Amino acid sequence: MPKTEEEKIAAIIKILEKWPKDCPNRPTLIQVLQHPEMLHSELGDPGIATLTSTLGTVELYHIENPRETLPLKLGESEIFGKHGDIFQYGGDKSDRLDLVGFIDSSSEYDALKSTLKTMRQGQGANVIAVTVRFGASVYINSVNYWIGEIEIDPEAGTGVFHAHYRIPCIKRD
Amino acid sequence: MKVSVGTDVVGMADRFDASWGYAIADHPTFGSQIPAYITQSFKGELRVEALWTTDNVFHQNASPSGGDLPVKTITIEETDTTSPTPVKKTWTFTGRMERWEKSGQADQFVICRFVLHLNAEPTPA
Repeated sequence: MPKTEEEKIAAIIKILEKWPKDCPNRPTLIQVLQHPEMLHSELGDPGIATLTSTLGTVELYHIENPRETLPLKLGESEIFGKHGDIFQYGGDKSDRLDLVGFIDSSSEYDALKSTLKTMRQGQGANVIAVTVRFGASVYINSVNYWIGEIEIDPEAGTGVFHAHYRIPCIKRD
Repeated sequence: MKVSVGTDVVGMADRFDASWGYAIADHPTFGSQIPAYITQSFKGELRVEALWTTDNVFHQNASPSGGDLPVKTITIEETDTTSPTPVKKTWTFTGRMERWEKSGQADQFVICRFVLHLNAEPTPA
């Protein structure tokens, strides 16, 4: 962690330089100095979420809603001829995480369509770890997930590379 | 000021208001109070108010032809009279006439107003 002011500014510049050059919402230095939470991390990862495996790394810079579901399987069965004698059972299922956000540049589009897809193809042997940050705090820290069916949904009336996405993740248990 | 619809001059144009631009959508992101800004689609309009004269035919432009309102070109010629030599500038607006108004009063003049829904940024020349 940077300690002196000089080290902090050096770390900020280092993170800013990792942002895609073609992103129109790439923060400026003055914005970041006023709102340091925009960088989400002082440790070097620029995105709100980072998906990484040995096959590559994808940074997600514009997550709107990292939605979590903690699913449960509940069921019951009745025994024929025995009124009121019901067998119930239940148990936790693997946690779900939906990364919902948008992209605003060509390089972010390529990262989803190419890098993340390659990582997904090899996720059996090359485990994908997901990190999600709220401001500067990491609250999902390098947890292993399966990546499901990725959706890219461009919006009418805006530029070519403005599209909403949804990346469903299922925790590897 | 001289307003023309195509080649027809609006003889007694009194006033015009034009506005145009691209909407900007704020997209908040998780964990940050500074949103991302997304430029959206173009929207603009030109409103003209004029005295109605009996030779005006501009109301015809607010009538669809083959199901579509015709695209009209409106030019507004401005003259800067405070310059030592009067300077003229002509702005060109294109779009469809989406609203037409005409109002009058007994023993008074008749006023017409129309709104051109722009299909491109206006250009000065």
